[in-house]
Amino acid sequence: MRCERYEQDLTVGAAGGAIGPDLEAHLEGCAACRERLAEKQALLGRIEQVLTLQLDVEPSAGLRRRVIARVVEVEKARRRMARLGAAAALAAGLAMVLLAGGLAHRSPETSSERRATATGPNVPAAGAMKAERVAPVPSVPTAGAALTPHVVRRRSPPAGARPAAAPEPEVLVPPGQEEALRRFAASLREDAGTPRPLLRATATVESPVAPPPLIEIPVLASEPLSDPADPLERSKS
Amino acid sequence: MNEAAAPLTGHLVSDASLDREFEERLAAASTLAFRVAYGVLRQREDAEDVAQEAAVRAYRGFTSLRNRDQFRSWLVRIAWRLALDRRKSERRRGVRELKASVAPTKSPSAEEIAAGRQTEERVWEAVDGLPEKLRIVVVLSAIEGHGMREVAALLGLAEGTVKSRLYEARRRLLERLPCVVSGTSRT
Repeated sequence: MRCERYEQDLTVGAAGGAIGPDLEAHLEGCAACRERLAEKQALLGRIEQVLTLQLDVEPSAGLRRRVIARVVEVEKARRRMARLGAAAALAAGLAMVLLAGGLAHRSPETSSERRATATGPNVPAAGAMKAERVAPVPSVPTAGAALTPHVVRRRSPPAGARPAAAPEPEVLVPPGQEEALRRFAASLREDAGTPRPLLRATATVESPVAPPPLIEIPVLASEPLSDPADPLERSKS
Repeated sequence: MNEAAAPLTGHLVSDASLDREFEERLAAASTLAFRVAYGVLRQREDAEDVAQEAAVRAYRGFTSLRNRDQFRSWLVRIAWRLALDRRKSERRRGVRELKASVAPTKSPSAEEIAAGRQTEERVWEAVDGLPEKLRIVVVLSAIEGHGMREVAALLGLAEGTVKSRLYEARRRLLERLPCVVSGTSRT
């Protein structure tokens, strides 16, 4: 007959836990409990034997080589992706720079939308002028003229002309400078390699524009309009 | 699967000596990693997959490992974690695989032969029911005859901690498997 109340203590003892004095004393007088304790210890041994046997297993042949191959494969793929990612990031950065540069040449249209289109025989072919040569015309304000710039848009290229490789930028032209722009565009068409300054139509790189003459400010003879010390003058004010 | 694998040295890391060191340490620990994974999954292919993945992760972190003498225990923990994650994932997907277990390499004695398939399944079922920190102690203790000291070193724990956890695991196993005798079970 088993002593049920000692069952848990027997389990503790079989598992390697401490056997209390109560159980120890009981075991001295109870063969059944001694047998039960031995059964539990044997059971534990059998459990561990099963585990040891099951886990004493060798991997399939070539596992080490396959492991190394897997490491190499994964690392090469990771580095390849890293390089692609870096290239994509660089391309995105360049695209942002170009976009920012393009946006910097744009301006919002005014409500009046004064547009000066470059028409006439001086209009270059769409494919002849490069977008980057159409720089903003320097501001040379005329007396009394408003300084509000307006947008110059080129007309669509005539039929049969080569299509532009890139969208043409809008050019800011101060009022009164449309003619200067036309002359500048004409100069580019004549000599695409050397842009000419815009200050004078006849100016060239070899003959730079002469500096403007100094404006002489005459020295005025300064005479007081009235003598503050003159009592007569004081009384008048 | 690619069997013809060139050595790591000179292929990946600019430091060839580091590659060589990793290969050497991996060679000494890869079988243990496989067995640890097998202790969770009990399927050879799955355990080998986990061992490979553990090696990949170990390689990535190898240069940042403070003490490379701890590589073995580090690889064991990686493999253990990956195996548990894989088992959880399979359970979530409802995968119930009842493949035959791998035949042990040693010739079993008559007593070991008597511990039949049913006993094995019941034992593993009881082990799988243990909490994780107790389960790994039981599995490592059963692998390669590891003693308390080896298990403590692999887990980075004090020997006393390992001893108390092993005791608790054994106690729970005895409670779950009160009557497993000679290949048949009686409750």
